[in-house]
Amino acid sequence: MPDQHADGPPQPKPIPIPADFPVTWAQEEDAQLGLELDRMHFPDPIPLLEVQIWGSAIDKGITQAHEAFGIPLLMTSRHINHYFYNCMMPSAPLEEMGERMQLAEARIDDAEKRLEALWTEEWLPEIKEHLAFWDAFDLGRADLSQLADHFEETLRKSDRLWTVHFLIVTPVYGALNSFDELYKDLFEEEEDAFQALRLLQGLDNKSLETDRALWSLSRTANDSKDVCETIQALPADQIKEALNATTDGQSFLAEMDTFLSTYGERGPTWSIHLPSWIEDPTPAFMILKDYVSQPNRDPMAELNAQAEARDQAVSVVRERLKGYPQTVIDEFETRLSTAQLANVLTEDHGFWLDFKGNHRIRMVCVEAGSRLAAAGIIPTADDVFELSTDEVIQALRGHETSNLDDAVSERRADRAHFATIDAPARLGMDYGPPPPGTMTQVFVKFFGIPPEPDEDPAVLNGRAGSPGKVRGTARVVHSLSDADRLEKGEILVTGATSPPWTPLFSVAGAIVTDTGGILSHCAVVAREYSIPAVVGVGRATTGIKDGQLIEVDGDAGVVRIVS
Amino acid sequence: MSILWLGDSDCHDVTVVGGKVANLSRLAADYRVPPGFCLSTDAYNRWSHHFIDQPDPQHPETLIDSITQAYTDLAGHCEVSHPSVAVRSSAIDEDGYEASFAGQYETFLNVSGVDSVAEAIGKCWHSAGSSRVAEYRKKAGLTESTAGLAVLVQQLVAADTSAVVFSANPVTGNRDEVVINASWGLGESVVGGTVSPDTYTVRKNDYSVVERRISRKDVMTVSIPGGTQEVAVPRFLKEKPALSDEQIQSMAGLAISLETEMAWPVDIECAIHDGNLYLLQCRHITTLDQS
Repeated sequence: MPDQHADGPPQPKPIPIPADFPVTWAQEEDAQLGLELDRMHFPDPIPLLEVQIWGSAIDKGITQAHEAFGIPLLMTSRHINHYFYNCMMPSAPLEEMGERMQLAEARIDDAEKRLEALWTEEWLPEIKEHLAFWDAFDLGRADLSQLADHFEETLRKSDRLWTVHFLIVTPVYGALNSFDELYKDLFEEEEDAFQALRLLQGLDNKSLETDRALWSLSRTANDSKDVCETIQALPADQIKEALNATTDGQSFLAEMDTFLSTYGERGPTWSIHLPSWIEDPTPAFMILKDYVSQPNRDPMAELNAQAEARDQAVSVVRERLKGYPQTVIDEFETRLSTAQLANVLTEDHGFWLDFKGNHRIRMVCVEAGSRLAAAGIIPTADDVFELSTDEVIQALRGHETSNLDDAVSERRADRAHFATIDAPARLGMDYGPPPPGTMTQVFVKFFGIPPEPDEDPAVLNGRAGSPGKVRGTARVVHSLSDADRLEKGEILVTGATSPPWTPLFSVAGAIVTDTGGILSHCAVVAREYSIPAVVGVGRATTGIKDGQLIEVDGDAGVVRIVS
Repeated sequence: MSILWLGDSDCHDVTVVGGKVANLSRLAADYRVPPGFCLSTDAYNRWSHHFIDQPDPQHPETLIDSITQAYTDLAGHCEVSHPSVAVRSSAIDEDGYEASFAGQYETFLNVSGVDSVAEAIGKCWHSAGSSRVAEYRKKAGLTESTAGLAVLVQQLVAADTSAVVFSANPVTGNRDEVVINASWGLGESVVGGTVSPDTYTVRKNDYSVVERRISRKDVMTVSIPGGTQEVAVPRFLKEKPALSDEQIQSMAGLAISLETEMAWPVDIECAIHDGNLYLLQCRHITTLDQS
């Protein structure tokens, strides 16, 4: 984002392009963009169809949500060597930015205060309406032309769904920030970064609910020695087949299906080219492998204990504020209840929108893929993700009948090559740090900012994510499917976590991530599970070796490699 | 009588309760004055020798009995078991106007429970006899013999906003204007000058606000257990007007009405709590006559 400091913007500098990451700008002026790789959501290269769906949804979603709030920033994204780069650009003359931003902040503030009504009366009903649209369409029975129409409508729906997404998250994260800032204002002498956020803990959300359901499934599994042993003994991707061979196993799978029908509409990340748990329950079995060998615990009691601690902390603050002007008390109470809801919505919007929505969008793509594969245009249904949206539409409409096998394998191979390359965090022009302001504050708390490297090479600086200090064996994990190596008490080291990773938080002793700030998914959930987290380390997955003994200090935001 | 109640006619006498308390007492019937009782000069003469040289933790039993009774009665008026009170001293001189002593005597805020109230009263008496005040009195040409001290124990208004209101402009001397200085929390930050309060100037004849200077209010005094504390005003409130238009009108109205009632220009302290405007003090504007 170009700088708008009062003393004039610093001279933008071109960012050097690494030799192993050649960049061909689609248009010459793209080199002027300040592009950033969103490593939290899209750390890996993603295929063409997905990037077009995302690119459109995110560019339009953010830009339209920003227009609704009057935020003078628009979003544009570029697909470079299969990586997804974004750029936030001012949409108003620089000299008007400050004033426009202030007006926007007032509108976001208004939405923060109406969060509950907006969520229950506007956004959630609209999300459900979109989901119902997809559910009402019989993919299997549609002819090619109906499917083409449906695919096109799906692309439009996807854009709208993601506009709703950013209409939600803007005031949700705004509300968390407002509360955090008010708290710091009131009790400025306190150094503990988590004090305010403790008042938001122990409220049930869809991620915790999913985790409890999975936990209870693990107890069901333990009821049968046979089922339990099968789950423990076999690799996660072979368990389903083995269970299907026994009566006990079959009845367990029936229970599993019930679980998946409610909670299985989630992939391992935000990527739609990867199967959801319903299609491939391997990630669920992977977590179950951990869960079945754990002694009994009571997740509901854990939540209640968190809630009790929260209520206690809230009443301490209320007592302290007793002698304050009523305006302050009222403001505190409003911000508190809004932030509590916002804390829940950081997870719940993902359950309803990101994952249920993505699952349905994916199913439309997969159906198109299987038709195109049947027609001999692409090798397999999954290869549809290597096509462009136009290629899919043209092929479904019968305008494109030539075989695309070569294009598909070429794109796949190129993507596989770039998966081995460390993509640069930024491309194009460096416009310096974004101007200070509430929006920037929220971005920093969510995405984090790169920390200063420590002089001691054994020390990795990050951001405080969740309090506590533990030592343990590092498990450097690059994807959810890779996480079955994580044993109880070990330290999960990864790029970023997303809601489908939540059940692992009851397995890990601590979490360390490359990306994120104190309001990132990882930090929020780690606090719910009372495990330490250091987020936004930048080079955790490269600087920490799998199996090393590390010490995680979640209060200081520091990781130390012990041996 | 050693203990007199605001609003009772024997509490209107400046020679036994001091000008500040006498004024409040006279106004208590018609204005919203928080309930309170006053330890008169009689009480001071009877008991204060225990405290003049040093604060005496051992209160005479008769004093404790009287304070206990009065505090219990006050609790009844306030409808709470341990009302939080302000304990303030009020100096007595022949004219009863003790404005020139402002700030020279002790004030204890947010005191509750009999023991704490008794302790605060003792400290007020001790402080009146302390060298600091004696020195001040000497400089002001006041003799020791005219000195007497009353102590007011009054329900503390948990102020959302506090203000000092002048029924004439104390700076320009303009008697057609009311000037209000207001800020967040208890009045101490406004009176003590640690905050730059908002200034609202109101024209008396039509109540129009002729000037409105909203300042950045950095600190406020709030109650904390056992006392008060000056804390930072949270950012959202710093530059917000401390008063609504309606509150400006009612404060101006109060000052105008008091000026009429007292027949001299007044300097009042008032506070807003739960939407109600309380009168906490009413004095003569001392600077006006010279201007």
